[in-house]
Amino acid sequence: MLKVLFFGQIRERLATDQLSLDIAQLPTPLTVKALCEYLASKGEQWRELITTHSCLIAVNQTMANLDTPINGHDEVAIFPPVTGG
Amino acid sequence: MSANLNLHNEDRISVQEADFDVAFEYQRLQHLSANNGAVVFFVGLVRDFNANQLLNGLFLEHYPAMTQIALADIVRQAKEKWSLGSVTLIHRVGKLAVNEQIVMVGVTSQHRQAAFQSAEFMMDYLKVNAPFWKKELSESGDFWVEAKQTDQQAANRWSPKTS
Repeated sequence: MLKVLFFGQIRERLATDQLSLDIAQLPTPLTVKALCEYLASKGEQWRELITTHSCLIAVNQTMANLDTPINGHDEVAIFPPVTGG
Repeated sequence: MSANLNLHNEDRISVQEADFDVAFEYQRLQHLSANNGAVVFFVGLVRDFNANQLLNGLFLEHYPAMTQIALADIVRQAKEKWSLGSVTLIHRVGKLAVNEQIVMVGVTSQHRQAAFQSAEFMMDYLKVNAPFWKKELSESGDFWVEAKQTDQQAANRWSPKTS
């Protein structure tokens, strides 16, 4: 299963910290952009929060871009711009 | 293989709830190599205010599987740009009260310029590349901190051609 994690304000406002998705149910070929579009179609709150211009996305713990491919057992994380330090 | 030549293993990167002891970390770096003439430390503390209100403290969320990887990558980049001895990078997570220590970077090098510059580089990069999120805790509620454009600009100045 594909694991999708959410952090910070996105996690809190979606009231969801992770999803497990079957890649067979998702667009092919699956990229970061396609996954974000799929998640944004889940409802009003999702469309507002999961936008490629306001989220950062990591695939397997490495920062990704819109074209990064996603495979069936990857770990994808979607989060707001970081504010550590 | 000579273990004492492997400086990489003397770097220390930690993500932890517990406080850290700057005196201990300094002594550790001081004694790692007689070859280095400079030690620079930066320590970040929790402020008691933001633009709008007094704060009781902060909550630091992070992405545990990625945080250590991201910090190690920042240290690796610093060691590519400057000739450094050893680096210590510690970032705390969880609930922190006003005036507590959040973050520290300590770096040794032969001369001070590399130590000053690399410490500043690591803090600038950490602020825009490491998966931490601050939530401010106040009497009127808890609020996620918004990322600042000035932090991105501070990070960009280290690589003007690629950003």
